[in-house]
Amino acid sequence: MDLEGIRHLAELSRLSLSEEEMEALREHFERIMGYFARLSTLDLEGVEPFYGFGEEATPTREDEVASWPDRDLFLEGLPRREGDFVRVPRIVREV
Amino acid sequence: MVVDLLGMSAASIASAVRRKEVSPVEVAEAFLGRIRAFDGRVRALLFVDEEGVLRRARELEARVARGEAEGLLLGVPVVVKDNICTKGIPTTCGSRILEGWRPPYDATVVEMLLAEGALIVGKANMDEFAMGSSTEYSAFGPTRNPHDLARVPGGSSGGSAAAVASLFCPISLGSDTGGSIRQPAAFCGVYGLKPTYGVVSRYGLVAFASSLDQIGPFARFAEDLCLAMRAIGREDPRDSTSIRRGRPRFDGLSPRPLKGLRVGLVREISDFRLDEAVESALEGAIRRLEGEGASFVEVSLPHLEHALPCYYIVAPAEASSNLARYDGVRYGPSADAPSVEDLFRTVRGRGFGAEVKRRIMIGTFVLSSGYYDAYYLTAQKARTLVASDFDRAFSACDLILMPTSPTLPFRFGERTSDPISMYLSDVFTIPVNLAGICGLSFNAGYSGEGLPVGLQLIGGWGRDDLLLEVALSLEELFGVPRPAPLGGELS
Repeated sequence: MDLEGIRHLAELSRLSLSEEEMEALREHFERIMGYFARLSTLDLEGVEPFYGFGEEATPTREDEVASWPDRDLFLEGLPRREGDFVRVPRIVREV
Repeated sequence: MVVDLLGMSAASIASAVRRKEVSPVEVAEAFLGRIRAFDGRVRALLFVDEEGVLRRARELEARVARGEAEGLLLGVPVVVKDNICTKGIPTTCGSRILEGWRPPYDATVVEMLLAEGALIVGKANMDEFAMGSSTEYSAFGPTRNPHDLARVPGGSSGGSAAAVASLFCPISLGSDTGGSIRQPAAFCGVYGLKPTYGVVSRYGLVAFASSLDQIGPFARFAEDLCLAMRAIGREDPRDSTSIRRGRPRFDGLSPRPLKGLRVGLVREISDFRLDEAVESALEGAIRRLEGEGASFVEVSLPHLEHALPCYYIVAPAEASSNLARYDGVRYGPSADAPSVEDLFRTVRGRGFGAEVKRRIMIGTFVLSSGYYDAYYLTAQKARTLVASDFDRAFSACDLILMPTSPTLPFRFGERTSDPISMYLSDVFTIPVNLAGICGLSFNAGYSGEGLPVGLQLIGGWGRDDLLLEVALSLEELFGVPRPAPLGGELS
């Protein structure tokens, strides 16, 4: 993995990173991918990937609509709001 | 009276409160006093709710006086890890990105504790978003091991483990994704249980890796571990992974005779380097259990060495998705930014620490197009192999005995420069999470320099009750773990 690759991943991850952080991550990726390579020695022919634990123990229930009791408390936790709305930078622009 | 309270089990405190021999306010004041005196050195807690605890203790006191108070944990102080939501009380997950956030609701486990009469004393320090094995990745500074302040308490639930070892509370809650309850329990010399996946509700637990995360208790007394599971080991309709059929039962647990118990010893453990104290604790425990009539069989976990690389693909993959919500819109500090994309990048770049960024990047990588099959899919298949190893092993034994961690508590800074050396601390705990089964760490003695040594008992799916019953017997054999030598000790 080169620095360009790290930059691309940072973009996908929505993380702004300094040059030093990217360099440190590049070194880490080299080590961790070497470590991941241990899995390549496994014979996985015919092995099912893991999809979750026994559904017989966790049957689904009826989906019921319930109201949230503390609407105001929830809104108070938002980073930026205007009244009951969440405020974000402009998304729609004129073309 | 006050001095004695600190060393008492939660079970004895609750029954003393019930019999009006001690008031909930006295209990609260005793433990708050202990925290005030020693948490400056240990730093187990990120938040202490003095006002709230005393208010609730007074309410309980009035109810006890009227003869209306019920509950398994009547007047018992409990600390919860800071990734468990507490309504109106700061919940930071050890991260700057959640600094100042107060959840609008209680986690189900918190509701259950309160319903049993517990006093929620405060929130425990942890590695940021539970990613770490030492609390050194907490954005608010590390917790110290109360048995040796120059060493780590383990992690990620290091604050919860240290709080119990320091007598700040008889019971605390942590969460365990790859060993985050058992490893700090071993390092701090207390009991820690990682229940079977689905036994305890995850509703209100801030998600790290949803297919691995599980909440569980810490305690100094095995009976308190049982008590805590009676309180929180219940079905929850708000968690779709909560087990509804075939749940283990936690009422009426009693010490299980060790005679006739078939204990599995893992052949592949010899491939790993263990600290001498860990190795001799394991040998000592085998001799003692044999003396009680337990029998030992060799079992094989051929994919033990693959569990760690498997975990470091699966867990970051899930984390990269779960942590997408910290974006400056739904959570986090805001920032002035020209576009939404810039807002995300800026808030996340500033708010997350190095280890969290590292894992988000790894997770994004293993899920990205072109690499998904080679990494994520391979790891999911390896996970199936790790789980089937346990299925085979449990056909020959009732439970497995092995070290909790290969080493004793390490010194600060020893492992932060090499992330893989930090990951190796969880090499024996991770397979249990991958398989969704249960594991318990207990104190099996102390090293020459007085550091606690923990060993792990692993049970099959839903055999949490068996682990607890065996722990009750082990306590008769190994004794109650020592409180940490912080000074001002019990008479």
